[in-house]
Amino acid sequence: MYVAVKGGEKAVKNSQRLVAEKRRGDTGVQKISMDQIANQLGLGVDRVMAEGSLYDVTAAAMAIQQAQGDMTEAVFLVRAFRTTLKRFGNSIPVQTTKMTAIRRVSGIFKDIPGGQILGPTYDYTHRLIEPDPENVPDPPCDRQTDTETAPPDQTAACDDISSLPGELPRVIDILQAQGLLQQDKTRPPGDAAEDLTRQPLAFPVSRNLRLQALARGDEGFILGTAYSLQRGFGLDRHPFLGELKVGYVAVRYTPPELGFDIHVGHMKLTECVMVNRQDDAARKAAGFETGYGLVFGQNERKAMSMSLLDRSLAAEKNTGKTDYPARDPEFILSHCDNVESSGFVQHLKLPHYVDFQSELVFIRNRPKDHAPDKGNP
Amino acid sequence: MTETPRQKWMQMLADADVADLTAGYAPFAEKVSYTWLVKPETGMLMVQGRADSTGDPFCLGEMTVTRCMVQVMDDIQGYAMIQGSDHEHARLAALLDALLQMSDFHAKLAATLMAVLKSREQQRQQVMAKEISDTTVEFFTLKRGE
Repeated sequence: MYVAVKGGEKAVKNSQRLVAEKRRGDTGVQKISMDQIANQLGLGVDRVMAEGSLYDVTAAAMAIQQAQGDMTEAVFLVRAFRTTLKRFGNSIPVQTTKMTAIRRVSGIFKDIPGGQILGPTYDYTHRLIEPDPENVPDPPCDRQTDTETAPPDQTAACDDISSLPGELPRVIDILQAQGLLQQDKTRPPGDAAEDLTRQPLAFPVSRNLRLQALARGDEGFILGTAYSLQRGFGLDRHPFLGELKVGYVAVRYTPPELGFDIHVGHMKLTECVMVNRQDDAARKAAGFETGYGLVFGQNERKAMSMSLLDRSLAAEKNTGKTDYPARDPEFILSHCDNVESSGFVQHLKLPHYVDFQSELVFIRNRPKDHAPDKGNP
Repeated sequence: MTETPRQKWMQMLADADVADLTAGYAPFAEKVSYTWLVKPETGMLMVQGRADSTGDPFCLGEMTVTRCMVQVMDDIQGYAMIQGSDHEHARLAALLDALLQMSDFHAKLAATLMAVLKSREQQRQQVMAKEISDTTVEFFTLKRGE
């Protein structure tokens, strides 16, 4: 017998009030502002924008505050926000070859044209917690110059106004020029992209949907599965970092009212090209294949993981084998979205009183059946 | 592909700080009457990337934008689409886009607002260029065997 139950309204209201209080914390401590979050927790904002799949610094900063710093919850808030907005159209594809790179490194060639630009990164920090964060001075203004290597006239020239470096040549073009890259050159690039938010994910999945799913996927899941590849669950050879770039690209759009394209704004992106040795069995030639990663904001860990997975999931198409999770497109792409996964896992908190009652009835009636249970538990 | 003058100034207006636009528009605010063709509305653009940076396009994710369209002096239309959700930024950018299409206003604005925006952009670029050049690695080889 099912009896409808009502109640808990007061407790729910009080819970909402309590979580607001806990979020605020000690009222003797100053409240943090959106500007502080956007400026001083920038990488967190980047992550929420990427997984929320909406480039909006203000919305992401508000979501982080409202979610009390719970990034997955903040991503959920951003996703919910984007459903309230009308879509005006598709941008012209961003030109990452014209990116103003603030960071650009390659793990395969030392002397890349345009140089290795270290930019802002934690890679070269000591990773020691500063003993007293209150007393950490603001970053020093004096910048180090490589006096060991720079000739005197260049050191003097450091005060001069430098202009932005021009377009950086792509590192993989070096491999391509030597004919070491396997690429499908049979057709020119198309201009229509499928969109995951407008159509369900059906397998086999095209590369553009795969890249979209990975770009908005959960960083932890993507990192973990990419790591599994490296540990031997799907990758035989050592992958190499062809090029990793962080920088700004212009977003352009052609409004139908105008009929010509206009610049709408800039966005920070991280782009990664991973290189894998992959010999061409048909041509009996040794060569390389690449994987591609592109993510909102500065998130090198995710862009690198994405490029590893892009490669491994493409390989699946050719071999037809799914020996490892990180080579199975359905396993990766159906489970990488953290709004979906956290929703499904956390729905277990909802009342399952009736479902569970059926389990109880089953167990209690079992001795009467005498038949051993071979079917569903 | 070369940009038209209008594309160039629309870019500068889209990238500008609202405070600069407010100050730049203030001298004309009294003289200019306008009507809305499209009131400021916030929405999104689906930003596309290209696989391997030059291949097939794919949907990277959306970006919040605000657009509006104004009619100034009965025959000139100004349009703006800016990043984010600041309606005032979009309004000023559309109004200034309209004014810049009229030669007498254009001359005045070029000397004031546009010059300010240009120098701000140059400053931004200089700071970034310095950051880039400061962290660019210079490799050197040690001479051995001496």
